[in-house]
Amino acid sequence: MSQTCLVKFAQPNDARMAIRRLIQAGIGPESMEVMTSQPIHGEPFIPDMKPTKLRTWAICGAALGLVGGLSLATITALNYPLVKGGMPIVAPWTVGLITYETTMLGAVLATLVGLLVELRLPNFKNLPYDPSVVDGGVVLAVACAEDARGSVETAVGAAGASKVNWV
Amino acid sequence: MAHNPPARLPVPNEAQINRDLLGPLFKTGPKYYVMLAVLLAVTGMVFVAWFFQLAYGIGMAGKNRPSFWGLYITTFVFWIGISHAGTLISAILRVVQAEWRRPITRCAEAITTFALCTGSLFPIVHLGRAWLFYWMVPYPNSRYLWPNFQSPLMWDFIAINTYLTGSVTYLYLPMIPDMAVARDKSTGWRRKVYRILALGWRGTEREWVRLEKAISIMALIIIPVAVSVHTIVSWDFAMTLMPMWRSTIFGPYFVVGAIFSGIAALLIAMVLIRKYFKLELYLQPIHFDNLAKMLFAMSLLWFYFTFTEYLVTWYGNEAPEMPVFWSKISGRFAPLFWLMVVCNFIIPFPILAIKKLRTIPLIFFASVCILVGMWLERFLIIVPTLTHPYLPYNYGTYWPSLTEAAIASGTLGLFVLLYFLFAKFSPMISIWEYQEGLQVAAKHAGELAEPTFAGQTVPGDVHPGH
Repeated sequence: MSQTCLVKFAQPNDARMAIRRLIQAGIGPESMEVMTSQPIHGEPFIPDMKPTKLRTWAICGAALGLVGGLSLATITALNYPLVKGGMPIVAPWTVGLITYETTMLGAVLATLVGLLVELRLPNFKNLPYDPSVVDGGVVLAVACAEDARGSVETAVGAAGASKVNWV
Repeated sequence: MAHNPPARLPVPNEAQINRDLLGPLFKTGPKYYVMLAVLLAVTGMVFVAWFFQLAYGIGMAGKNRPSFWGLYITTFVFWIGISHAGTLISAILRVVQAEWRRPITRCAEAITTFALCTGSLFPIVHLGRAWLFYWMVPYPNSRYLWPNFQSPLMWDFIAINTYLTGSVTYLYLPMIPDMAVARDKSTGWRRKVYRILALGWRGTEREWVRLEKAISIMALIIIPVAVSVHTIVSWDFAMTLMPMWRSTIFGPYFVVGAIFSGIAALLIAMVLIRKYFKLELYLQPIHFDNLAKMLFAMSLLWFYFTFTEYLVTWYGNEAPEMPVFWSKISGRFAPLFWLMVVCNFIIPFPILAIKKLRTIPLIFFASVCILVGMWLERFLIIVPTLTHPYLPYNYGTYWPSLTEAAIASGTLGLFVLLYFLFAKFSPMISIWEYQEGLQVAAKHAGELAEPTFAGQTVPGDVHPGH
């Protein structure tokens, strides 16, 4: 049966060291999660983390917004043509303005949706979490089989864990 | 060789930062309720006056030929201008990675959101038959007609909604981790509310990487949107081809004025938040000094644009424009015009230019003057032109009615009320960004080989922005 261990470290480097030791002990990086109260700069904690595709989301959203805005401003003008003394029915300035705004709106909304999808938020399930992380420190969550419990405790203990809690 | 270490400022640790910044959310004193009652009363005035206008017609607003735009549109443009304080300034500072931005961004972004909410009320009030507002929504109505996108009013509708959506998103994204802190530190119904708003945030590495990426993408998107919004507001005027509304620099002139008034509003908000929430440790003189320098630059730029605008009109000497020009320079509107110049340039110039005068109280005073001046600027763009149309026999006067004045002035109360309620609900300084700033500052100071946590960087503590 799988168990999760929440380990607290005082310093980011201790957590990095613990992760290296755990990987050496045969625990896969996908079984580990690092929680902090702020983004920690420098070397990533977990190696080979999947890159984000948020930029692609934003570009796709912008493209959708562009097509939507262009269609909205063009088709509505053609749908009920208002003759305005020699001026074009589909006014390029108007279409340009509306399209510009909807393009940006598409990018904004797609970035938000992309973030929520990539992070699988909202998520109100009881995932491993230690609320004391908001007061500082690094919390490492390790999911492992029950028989690996000893090797996990040894690895994190050697890296200087300040608190170990099995949930 | 003797080495004098730089002055050290006390740096709070994470627990203290959480305590200080979440404190105003959980502690409510009698002063808060008194202030709330006052703000509710002022806001109530807006809705009572609006009710009378709805009940008795738009005539209550005193609109008459030739000036059908008065305080409503003046105040609309003013609030949309104020909205440039937040998202635009915050986005620019994020993009250029100005470290001192960290305690400022939340205050600024909230101003944008609430100024937009307040400002966008005015076109609805100005419609008279406010209940027909939904005709602007792009869908085919009962006669299968779509809104006419060639109307500048539609441009406004689309642009303001885009900016509002972007601003709310840009405000909310950095709030998610802070909502999680509030969730973990609160109890009872508050905990339930913050739990929903935190969306299940745990602060994993994966979450931080993606959140920071999303915020940086949003910052890049929001800058051109903000510029477009006020440019489009200026085109509301330019498209009417009225005297003194046709200048080619009208778009940038509006954008410069918007950023100018926005920074002034931000400084006022920061001074009040610092004082009433006792955040002196977080909002330090350097933050005011840096923003005051930006305000000074904008004051010069505003003066340059105003001078150019009026010089070209005067030199052009076109018959329809000169009555408008002279009504401002030496005519009926001259007292307001020169008061605007005093408020926007003469008073702020020495205060913001001379280092010794750039103190927090004087910056506050200059910012208040600028807001008055910028409101006058909006008024002077609109009313003198409308009262001096092309044909002299159409010249007229304008005087705001009591209803109009009550609604226009009362929206200040509405804006402050929204901001005030927000300040009771969210930390006004982004907790995680501030903590990250301490980490970055310590690393940049070269006093740590490895980034660490606030409060643990005992030797050579440095504040963000120093």
